[in-house]
Amino acid sequence: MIGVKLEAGVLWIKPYGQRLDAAVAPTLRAAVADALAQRPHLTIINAESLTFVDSTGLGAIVAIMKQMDPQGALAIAGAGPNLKRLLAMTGLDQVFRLFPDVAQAEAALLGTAR
Amino acid sequence: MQHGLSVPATFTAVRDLAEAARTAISHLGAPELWLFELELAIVETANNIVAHAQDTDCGRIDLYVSVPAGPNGRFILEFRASGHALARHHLDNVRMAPPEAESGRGLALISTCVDELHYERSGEINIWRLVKIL
Repeated sequence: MIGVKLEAGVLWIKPYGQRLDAAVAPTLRAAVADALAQRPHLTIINAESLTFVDSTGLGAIVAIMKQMDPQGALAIAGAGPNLKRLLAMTGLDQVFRLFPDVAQAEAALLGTAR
Repeated sequence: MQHGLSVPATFTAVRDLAEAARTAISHLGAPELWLFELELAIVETANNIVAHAQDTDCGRIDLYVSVPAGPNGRFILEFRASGHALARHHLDNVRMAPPEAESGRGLALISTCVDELHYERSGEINIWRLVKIL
């Protein structure tokens, strides 16, 4: 299951399972389709529960980024060591904004101190 | 020590292959990142078989795992599945896909995660052999 919320141009995504892989990626794409039609300016993905992501899951995240406002940003919060390793291997750690947790992502990107 | 497992060629069943490999090697105390790279290589190889090689909906993937007796050994994974042959040029110059690509990273990730990657075809069977040194 994947939680999705769009509010004031910001798309929040939270996968509730441990894996974002080829079996789950179509569910993610379907879950965000309506929100992406609004061209959000910012997407924050809460990756705290994810222990495994494969290239198909990563491709779904890239697809999200490509459907956003071109001037916007996609952030991944709470990525564990495995996801960080994958992002480094693919060079996407230089494309996505990475934060230790959602609170720090929100503070940096939305200016909301908690 | 050798283990064998056969699963349907579906993306969901690919997870079972990865779990079986982790279980087979659990007694060797490999670091988590090493295990993640192994799992990623297994999943990406099997995903490729499911996505590109299968010409029917009821194919299977056979995985044979050879586990080293102790640390510093060669962990060998052999995948066997029927289906379309891989064009050899795909293995000649493997590069990571550009950032904007939504697909095409699998082969580069496999190459990064293992020490050796071999492909051959025997009749109608594709054979992938991955070696990761512990």
